[in-house]
Amino acid sequence: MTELARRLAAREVSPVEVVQAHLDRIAALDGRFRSYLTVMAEPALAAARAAEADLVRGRTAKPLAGVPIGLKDLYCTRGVKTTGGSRVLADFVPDEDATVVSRLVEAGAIVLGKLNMHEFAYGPEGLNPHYGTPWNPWDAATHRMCGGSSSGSGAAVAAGLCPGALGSDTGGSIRIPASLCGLSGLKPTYGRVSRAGVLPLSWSLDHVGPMCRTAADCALMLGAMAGHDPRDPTTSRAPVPDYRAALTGEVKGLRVGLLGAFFLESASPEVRAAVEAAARTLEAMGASVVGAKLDTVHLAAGAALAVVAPEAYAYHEAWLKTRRADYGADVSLRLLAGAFVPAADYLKGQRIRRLAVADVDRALAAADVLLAPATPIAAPTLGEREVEIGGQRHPVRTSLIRFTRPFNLSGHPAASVPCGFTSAGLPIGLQIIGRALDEATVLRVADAYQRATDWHGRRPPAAA
Amino acid sequence: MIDSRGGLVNRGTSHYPAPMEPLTMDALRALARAQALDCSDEELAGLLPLVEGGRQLIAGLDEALRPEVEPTSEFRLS
Repeated sequence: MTELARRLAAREVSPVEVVQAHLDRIAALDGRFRSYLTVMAEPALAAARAAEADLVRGRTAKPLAGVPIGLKDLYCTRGVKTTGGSRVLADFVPDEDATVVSRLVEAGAIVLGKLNMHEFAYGPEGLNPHYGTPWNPWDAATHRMCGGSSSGSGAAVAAGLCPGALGSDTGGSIRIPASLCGLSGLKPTYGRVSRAGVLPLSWSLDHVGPMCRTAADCALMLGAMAGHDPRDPTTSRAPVPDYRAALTGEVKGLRVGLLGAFFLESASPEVRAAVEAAARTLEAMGASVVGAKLDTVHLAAGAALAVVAPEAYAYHEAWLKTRRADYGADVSLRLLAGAFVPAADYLKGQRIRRLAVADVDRALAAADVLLAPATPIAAPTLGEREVEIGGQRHPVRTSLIRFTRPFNLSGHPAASVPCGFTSAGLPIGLQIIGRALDEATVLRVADAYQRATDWHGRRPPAAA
Repeated sequence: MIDSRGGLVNRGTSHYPAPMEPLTMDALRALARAQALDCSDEELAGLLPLVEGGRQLIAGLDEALRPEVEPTSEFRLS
């Protein structure tokens, strides 16, 4: 995306050519990948012609001028269906853009379309019974999960159907598909990016962020999106740094805490080996790597459930009472389960959050960033309910979310970038966690790692 | 305390909380009805392990909660 933005600004390539090429590729390939729910061909081409006219007239290039992006179908788009991956909202047409959509368009981005997802974002597998589940481009022969809930965003960027996309992340829904699809995805600090106009799953755990091929691309998108928004009272008033300027390529002297217990120790051997190798790469670049641990992380599953379940039920209560048959059975049951969480239990979850924040802050007092696998496994096949790790069987759902959910609870920024491949050719994701509002350091480490490796540059054979 | 025959006598409040009883289908059905949720038997059968599993998981949070730990969901005017 960064290179494309440069070429567009330099008038080496036309926005119309770029948008048309992406539309042609979507038409040719997306019948298989099912990443798009709505393709906005005519508006995209109209925006491309306007962008081209601006560039011809020599008007100052905006940072994302002419760059096509996809939007998870959770982001309200004025005049364009926003389904949440559901039948309940199959015909919902918002009359206002989400704040981040407005900001990206003001920065010059061109929206190619709305992307598939786990119904109402309530699942780390990325399944969708209404519109079809996206196909992971990294396996041409077998239908594998892209991960969720931003499954369409993962498939689209991995297959080259857009250079970058918006996802959302409540328990891992940006980082899980980034990990399973070989992408760079960033969950910013809670409150760094506005959630106004984004269909909620859980108000206090939802995060908005980019999914791209590189950390530099994520920095480009984040710079256009971040900042206080009066429409979202949880947004921070802290100034937005120049994330691209922070990408110095330097990690000398950086302290890196490698999370062992609960994280590395629970990952498959191939994932563990890849993450440990990534730590050694950073060490060779001048960072110092030490062991790290989080004392309260074993409580994250219970605390997150205590918060997500009743918040999600509260949002869906009216529809569940009047349109339950329009929900997929899996999501319907899990939403209903939130009705049975007493208020005292919800508050237990929010109290544990205070301990979780302090725990991660403590670990980040001794390190500049923390490292962990993004997911303990690579992409499972569709229909797989259990996986074997270290000789034991574990449910796929809880396995996928295990390493990402703690940082939704604490709200710290966390990125997933590719750090290797399994023997079956499936991507492995490295998670980089930083201090609150220090996305700059997270992106600097990710970018420096990507300058020293080429995992992020590989392309899936199914999308050739 | 120990009585004159060496037996244990419980006086006052137990130091140990009563164990959490597992939810039954009937209890879940009653809870659902109390919230105007009309759930079929099939739905209740699917819900029971989810709700019971959630209760057990959340009960495990008690070990870490001291009275002075406040929730992060705070009301603030300034």
